[in-house]
Amino acid sequence: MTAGRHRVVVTGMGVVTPLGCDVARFGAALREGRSGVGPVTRFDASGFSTRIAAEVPLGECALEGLEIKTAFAVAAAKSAMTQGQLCGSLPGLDEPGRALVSLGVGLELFSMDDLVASRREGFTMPAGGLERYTLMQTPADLPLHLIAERYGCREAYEVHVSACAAGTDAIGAAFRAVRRGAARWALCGGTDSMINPLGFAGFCTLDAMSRRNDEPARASRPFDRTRDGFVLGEGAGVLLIERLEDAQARGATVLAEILGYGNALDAHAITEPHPQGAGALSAMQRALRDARLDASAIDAVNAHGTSTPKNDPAETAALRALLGDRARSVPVVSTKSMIGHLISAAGAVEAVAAIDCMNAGVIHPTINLVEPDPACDLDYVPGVAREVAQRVVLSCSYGFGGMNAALVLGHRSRAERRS
Amino acid sequence: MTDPIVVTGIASVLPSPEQPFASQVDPTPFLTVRKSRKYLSPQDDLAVVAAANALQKSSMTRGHLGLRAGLAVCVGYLSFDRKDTDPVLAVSVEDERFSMRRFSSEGMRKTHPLLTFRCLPNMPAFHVSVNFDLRGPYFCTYPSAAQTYTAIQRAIDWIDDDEADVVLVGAVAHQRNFLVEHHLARIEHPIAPSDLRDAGAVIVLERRSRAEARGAAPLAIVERPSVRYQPRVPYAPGAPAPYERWRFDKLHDEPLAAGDFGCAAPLVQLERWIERRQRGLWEHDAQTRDGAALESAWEVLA
Repeated sequence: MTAGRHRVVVTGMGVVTPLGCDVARFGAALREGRSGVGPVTRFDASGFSTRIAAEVPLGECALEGLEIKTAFAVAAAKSAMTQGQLCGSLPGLDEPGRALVSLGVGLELFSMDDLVASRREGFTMPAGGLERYTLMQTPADLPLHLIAERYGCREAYEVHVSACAAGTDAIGAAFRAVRRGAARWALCGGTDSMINPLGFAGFCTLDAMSRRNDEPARASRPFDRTRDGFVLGEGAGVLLIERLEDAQARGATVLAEILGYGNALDAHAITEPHPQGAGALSAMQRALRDARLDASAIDAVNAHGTSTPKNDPAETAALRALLGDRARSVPVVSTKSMIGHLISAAGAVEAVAAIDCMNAGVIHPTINLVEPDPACDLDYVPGVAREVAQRVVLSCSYGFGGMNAALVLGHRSRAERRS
Repeated sequence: MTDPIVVTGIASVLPSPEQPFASQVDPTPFLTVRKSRKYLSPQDDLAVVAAANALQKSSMTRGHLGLRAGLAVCVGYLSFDRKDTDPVLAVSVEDERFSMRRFSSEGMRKTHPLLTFRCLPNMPAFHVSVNFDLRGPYFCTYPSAAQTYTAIQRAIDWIDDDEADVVLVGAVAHQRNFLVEHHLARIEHPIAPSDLRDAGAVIVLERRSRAEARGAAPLAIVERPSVRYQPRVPYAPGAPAPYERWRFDKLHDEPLAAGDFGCAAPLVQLERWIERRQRGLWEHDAQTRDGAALESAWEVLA
């Protein structure tokens, strides 16, 4: 390490996604180009303009009696800790005040059923416990407390509510905390589900989601000329991160190194990103500066790639400006083409996807890209996975309201060589 | 410390619960696009007005901000208004139960088209960024005073790491609505709805040298605040009893403004001490229900 700057590595990953709830299966499905999108089954969506979503197969995820966003986060954290085999393995790692939970979370879950029930004559509040605490509205920070309590994380927990950039911001903030020594290790990522009546209604009234209801697997079409909006997904992704020297001392398997993080505000407009992706470009430049790298080091990009008319060309413009002459030769992929938009969990799950692809030496495809949009003129790896050696990957998330965040991820071999 | 981080602007907005919110908090004069008014929720209103007033006190305009200006905002619990939920509910009930069939045919049409904009927790940050041209790093967090402290810590990090020259730190809580009242009444150590106040507060942080170079008077020096956390299951019995205390020059506790200001509380009280113009060290410590213990010190300069 340089003074006050520890190297930070990923030693555990957990996911809950529409394509499965373990990293290996999720990664394999991505590389096969499988879609996790289908008709909405969670509630009767027949009256909605959009009736498709990328739902998590709930039978595969232990809900532990919790509402699903909380359960997703708890399950993903457990998988990350299991893979990282951290608990009790190195003296000092469990010292109080040195472990951090940092999560991107979505809107508080608001229950219309409970609201109606609470207005019924004779209604009484539950006496206590989870039932009382989550009646009508579930505080969005509940998963952080449960995870912190379960794993003894006593560093001040971080709740990130930067919409679709929250998962990336949560990882970036935790990375910075471990790098400067404020935390020894961290569980970081994001969780979200808006596949509920009110969440769906909100996006339908905004006309933001794809209406390709008759062919759900083809509905999420980032960078395609015929794209008509995003597909709502749900899930969680959690990374276990720690100092490189700690990982080496306890013999942990390093999965990747986090090299840099940056974020920036658009300050542009409420309903659309900056048309040239100015905030996105700033975020990527800051992440590279933080990593002490320049854009020539980037081997691939896991893009935000939402499949909305306005995001995809703006993001393309930002990447063109960042990559310069290399813009058309650097692979740029959208995980959302297969699992939809996981909102506050998107950045975390996509970071897992990017790391898994790096380690496989194969970059997953952007599916459903059949008719390229002339305004989207990069190499998006359409349709079929490709063997690509990736030493440095950029993973980007851009949120509603002009929040832009980027992570620079390094192949695990960098950690082995430079240590 | 040779060049400390200082507060150069501070403002809070505390509408009286006795009068309508909208008649007391009007962000319209500060909006660069006036027709965007319809997008703002009460939390957004609080953030924009507090930011405008804090920037004015720090003698800063949009021209001082841009790419080197950061923004860290803590928002309170989700604050749906009854005027948004009641019309939806009125047509979505069948046999005294919520009916998905009626909601998807009639209730959805009653959902306010701007509801999503008004309830997203990052919207206060968006409205501040777009109206005052902040394009630097950001941190959007939630829901209580511990996270307001984390926001202050983040601002200090950005200035220390030379990622930003100036940072606005805000905290906004729209608490006089049924959903927040419901939540804060059901938890251990509940808060009576009549004690809840809507509140927004913003401070402007920068290096003393930068403030003095542009002719602004530093109001207070901030020392890095600390947060200690004892994790606990929030719905299990045994939540720590919350308290908040401000002490002047290590002598005595100062009486706090009446009411619960949610996540804005530390900044609301700080403004009172700064406005009092009593030089000296103000120390804050607090305990939150969710297990966080907070400590900070502010040297008021003028």
